[in-house]
Amino acid sequence: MPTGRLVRMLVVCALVLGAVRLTVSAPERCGDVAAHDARVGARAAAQWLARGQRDDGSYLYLADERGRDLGGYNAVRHAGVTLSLYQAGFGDAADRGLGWMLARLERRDGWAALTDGGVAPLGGSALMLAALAERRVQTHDRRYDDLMEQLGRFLAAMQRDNGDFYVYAYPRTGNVDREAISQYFAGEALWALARLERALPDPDRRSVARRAAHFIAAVRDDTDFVPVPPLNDHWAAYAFAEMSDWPLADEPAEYARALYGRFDLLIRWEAQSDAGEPYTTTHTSGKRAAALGTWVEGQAALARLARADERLGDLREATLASTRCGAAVLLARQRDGAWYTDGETRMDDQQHAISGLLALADLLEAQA
Amino acid sequence: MTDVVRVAVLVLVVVNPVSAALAIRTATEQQAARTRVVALSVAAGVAAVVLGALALAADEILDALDLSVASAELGAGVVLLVPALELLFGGPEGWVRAPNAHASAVRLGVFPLAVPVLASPWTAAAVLAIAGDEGGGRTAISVLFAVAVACALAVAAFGPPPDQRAVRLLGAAVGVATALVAADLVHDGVFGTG
Repeated sequence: MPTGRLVRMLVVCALVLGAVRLTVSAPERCGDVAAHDARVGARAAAQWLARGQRDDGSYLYLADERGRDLGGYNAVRHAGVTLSLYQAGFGDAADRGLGWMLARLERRDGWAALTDGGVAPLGGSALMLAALAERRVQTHDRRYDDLMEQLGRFLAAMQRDNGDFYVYAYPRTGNVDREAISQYFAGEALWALARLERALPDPDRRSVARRAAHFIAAVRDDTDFVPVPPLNDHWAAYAFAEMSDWPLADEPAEYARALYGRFDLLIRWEAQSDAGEPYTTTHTSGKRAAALGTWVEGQAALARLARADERLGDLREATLASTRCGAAVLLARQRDGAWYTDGETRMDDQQHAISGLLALADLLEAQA
Repeated sequence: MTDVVRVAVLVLVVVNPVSAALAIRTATEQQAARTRVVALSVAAGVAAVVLGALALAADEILDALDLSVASAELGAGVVLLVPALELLFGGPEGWVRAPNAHASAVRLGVFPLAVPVLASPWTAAAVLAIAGDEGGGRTAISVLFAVAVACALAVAAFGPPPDQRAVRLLGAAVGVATALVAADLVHDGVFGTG
């Protein structure tokens, strides 16, 4: 007969299995999202943004569930929302948002930067450039090509020796903040430069982008502001996907694989938190759509990269499945076009969800 | 290491033929030679069917549980830490004491030798996760190999009592290997590198 020792082990294992099922191996509520579902969700979110747009082109930044304006604003997020509206095909609203940014441009020494209260955050100019690149793709209108070049020169001028970027500039004085750091601005700048390179090729700019890619893939995670690498940087994923035919160096390709694992873990947790009781209790989420949306965006970008780069070919199905799972969670949480956390929604909740959902729709339609 | 060999090694470690062989020896040591062989054969057959079926149906089982492969790996890795610690600090022997002399060979083979000695809950969880990642067919073949190794060791242990020092050393080695497999599964589950 089994000894007490074996029985004890079995009891302990049963308890551990139960605990594991409640926590790390809880069921994942992913659902089965079709391209049409994703486009419908993205369109509703874009309509929410367009409805809240003001005459000057700015958007409703923070609102409660009754649509009450709770104030606040951020130029970087404005640029990101404008980008997502171009992606969603809401060109008129996006052009009004572009007008708001054009009124806040500072030009100096051949470059241009989007300012926010006299300061030019790198991310604002990067996302404005990405929005213009998206507009160029959607409309074939080249009237902003010079401005794109000027924004690109600003990004390049902000690059540090190690490939990272200074994150704040003061255009009127020509000074830069040499102390401040940002987790995501480098990825935003890299992606914007890669998109500019696609639209208006330039060998010098490509070198800037390659140095930035090296910093993100090989240096950034060793710095003190990334506590648990890899940083879940969807902008970097976008950039690496955009650079897939340069071709991409080995370091970014390896980093992309690590990013897949991080996005997958984060998306799984959100899917588990939506699996009903008792799993909702053991998976406290509280993550807003602005976070989940970025993970879906990042995973979708990696899915595109995996289709283009044989080194990541084994991730083709896994990245798509993870993107689909995250999109399903997003759609299940959407209410009246928006995503609310603790009774509030911020405009970038809609921005990132739109970009993620549309990216999934593109992937599914390309597959079909 | 090729993928086939890697899977075979992983499954061999989680089946733990050393503890299984010692348990089979202890459980049948008062039985006639023929009874021992029948009990061993039943244990091997039942364990192979149970674990092999889990491996072959892994995708369907994971779907039914709404579980991704990475989550299954993470969970299996955590569960495997229990036998790993037990092997490291308690040694490989002592899972089964001398059986009731009246127990039939078939009953002995099914319980406790097949389940839970060869096909334990932690082995089942690990086989499920490995099969989800590496493929059911490859894992099922590895299960057959691991069960065969356990049977071969059990037959070898039917002779004179094994040297206790060697058993302890072997148990510690299996404990370390099990801990490494557990860590590998947890790593794959967290970083998606499976």
